[in-house]
Amino acid sequence: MNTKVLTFLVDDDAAYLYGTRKLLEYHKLCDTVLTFGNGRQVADFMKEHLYDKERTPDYILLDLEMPVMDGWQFLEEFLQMKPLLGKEVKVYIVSSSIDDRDKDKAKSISVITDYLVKPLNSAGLREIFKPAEQ
Amino acid sequence: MDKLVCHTAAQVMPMPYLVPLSHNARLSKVFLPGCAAGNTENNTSLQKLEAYRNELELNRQLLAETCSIARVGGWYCNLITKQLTWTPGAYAIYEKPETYEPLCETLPQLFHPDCREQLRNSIEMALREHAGWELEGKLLFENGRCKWVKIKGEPVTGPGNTLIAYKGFVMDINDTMLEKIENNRYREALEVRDQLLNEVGAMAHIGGWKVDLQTRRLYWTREVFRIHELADCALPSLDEAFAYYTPKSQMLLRDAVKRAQDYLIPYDLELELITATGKKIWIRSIGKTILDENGKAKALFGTIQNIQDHKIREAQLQEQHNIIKEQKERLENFAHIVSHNLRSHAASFSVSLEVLPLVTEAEKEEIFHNMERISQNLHETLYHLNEVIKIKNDCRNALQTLYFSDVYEQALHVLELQIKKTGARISCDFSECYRVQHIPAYLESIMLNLISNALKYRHPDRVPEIMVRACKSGDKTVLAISDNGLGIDLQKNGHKIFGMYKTFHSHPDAKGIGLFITKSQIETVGGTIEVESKVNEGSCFIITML
Repeated sequence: MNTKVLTFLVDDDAAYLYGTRKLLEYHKLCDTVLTFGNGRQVADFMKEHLYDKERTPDYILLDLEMPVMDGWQFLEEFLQMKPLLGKEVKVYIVSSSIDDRDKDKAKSISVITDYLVKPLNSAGLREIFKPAEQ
Repeated sequence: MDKLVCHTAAQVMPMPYLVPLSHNARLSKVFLPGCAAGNTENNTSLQKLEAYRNELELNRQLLAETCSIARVGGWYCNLITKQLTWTPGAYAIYEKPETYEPLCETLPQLFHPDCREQLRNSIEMALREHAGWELEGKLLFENGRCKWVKIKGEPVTGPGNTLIAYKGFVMDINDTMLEKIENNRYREALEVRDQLLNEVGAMAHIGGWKVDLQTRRLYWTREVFRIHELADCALPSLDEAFAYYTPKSQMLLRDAVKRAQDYLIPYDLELELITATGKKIWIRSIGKTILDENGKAKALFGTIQNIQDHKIREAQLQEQHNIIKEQKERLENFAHIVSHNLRSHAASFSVSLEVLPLVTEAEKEEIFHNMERISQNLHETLYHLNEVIKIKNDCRNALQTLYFSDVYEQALHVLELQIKKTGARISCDFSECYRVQHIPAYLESIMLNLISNALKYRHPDRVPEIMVRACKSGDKTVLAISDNGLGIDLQKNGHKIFGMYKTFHSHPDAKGIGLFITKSQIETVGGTIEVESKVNEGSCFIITML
């Protein structure tokens, strides 16, 4: 592995962020994990480091319901940034919503790799990072 | 006839001045010698006779022609000899050759079987009572053809007032009779149709109207009068008819009529009409143009239907629809809380538990702390769930008269600590409207929530100022709560401000449920909530209550 794998966790639930980060670190599924409390925070961070490959994530695990800027709104901004990003970014929706409307909406957005329902356990997380491990 | 003419002449004779002037020349020959006696007497008598004959012939011809034109014939029935005599006119009507010998006994045979009995009865009764008789009946000819005739008979009495004969006329009334029958049939059909139209109209509450564009005269069917609750005698003028509508409907109708008239565009409108008794009803008015031979609008016609019942049912249906919609929304919200928030907490628990055995002691401490917080959040979510369920649809009977000042004081009491901490200046003005019909728990919750929000989202650079004011707008009560806080970007977030779990500030206390519950509580009692806001200037929540 030449480059370090960077993962962004975006969720307004601090306990969830903490737990998931610990799991990722423990299983060494990626090299660096950064956590954000809402869409605004992660969008601002990405805009700031737009051309910095080191700080552009390989994975974004995105919650939908968040204050200030929710997952959908972030995706709108992300779509504008995408052509300027130096690498392929895989976006996973990780939401507790089991509403089909959310799932269908996610399917209609091309940049979303998959829609996953919380909670993600160790096995679930491994599935996401499998290609990176190989 | 002869007798009659002679008699008349004899009477005329002594009064020559009555004779028309044009006849003087001829008559002088007759009368003047009459004054003188002498041998010329025979000669003059012959002349006289000749003149009478001419006159008689003339009259006979005239009579025959008149009879032929009028299609009348005469008859004479000698009761003693049983001899029946017809004039040529009668022969023509009965369509018999001159060789035919009319007989009293066989006369009924000439008539249609339907009339024979009646004819016999009329004649018998007349004979019994020595009276005149009259009958309208159908003649039946050999080829099956019929002809309507009128026969009239008058008794002729002889010396000693004995009945000796009957005389009278027979008249061909076929054309008038057929016309009459046709007319009757037509009138009957028309009457049936008219009745049908009226009854169907009454049943369906539909009336018809027509307006002649040239004369501007209006025609209404009975149902239109009934819809207007007017007696159907006096037709209103066009302007009077328009005046029965509410101003808004009148404008719509006048516009539609104009377009129908100018551009031949038909219309179909639902309008509000104020009847003669002052009742406001909904009607459906349909109008179309009738063209003249040049393709220009000649008249307008259409229908008016009373759709008040229909409208009431529609409104009821709409209301039920709204209730169902509200219930559905609440159910969805409930499902959302269950699906999203409860699941969200469960997910956090699950992740925390999973990571627990894998981490260091110090990290374990952190995780336990997190789990405590999750547990708290779980409780809060359950509380919200309960709040959402508690909002009922039909709780209008729980309405009470509430005084704004009471509710306001109570909210301030609850928020005492925060008010002190923030140094907020809160004022109120209930002078214009001091009370309202509402559900106590709801109004308290609404007031508390909005003031609490104003405090929570205060601007960091200034002292919070909150104003609570109530006023009247028409028959509705308006409660406005304004602040000088952070404000909300309505352009971006206006559509979801009252949604569930929507927060616009990364504030630690922001839960995103308060305004959702507030909105539900307001709408349950038939009210609405709106917001005016500018970022960094403040917000104003305006609640309109029934």
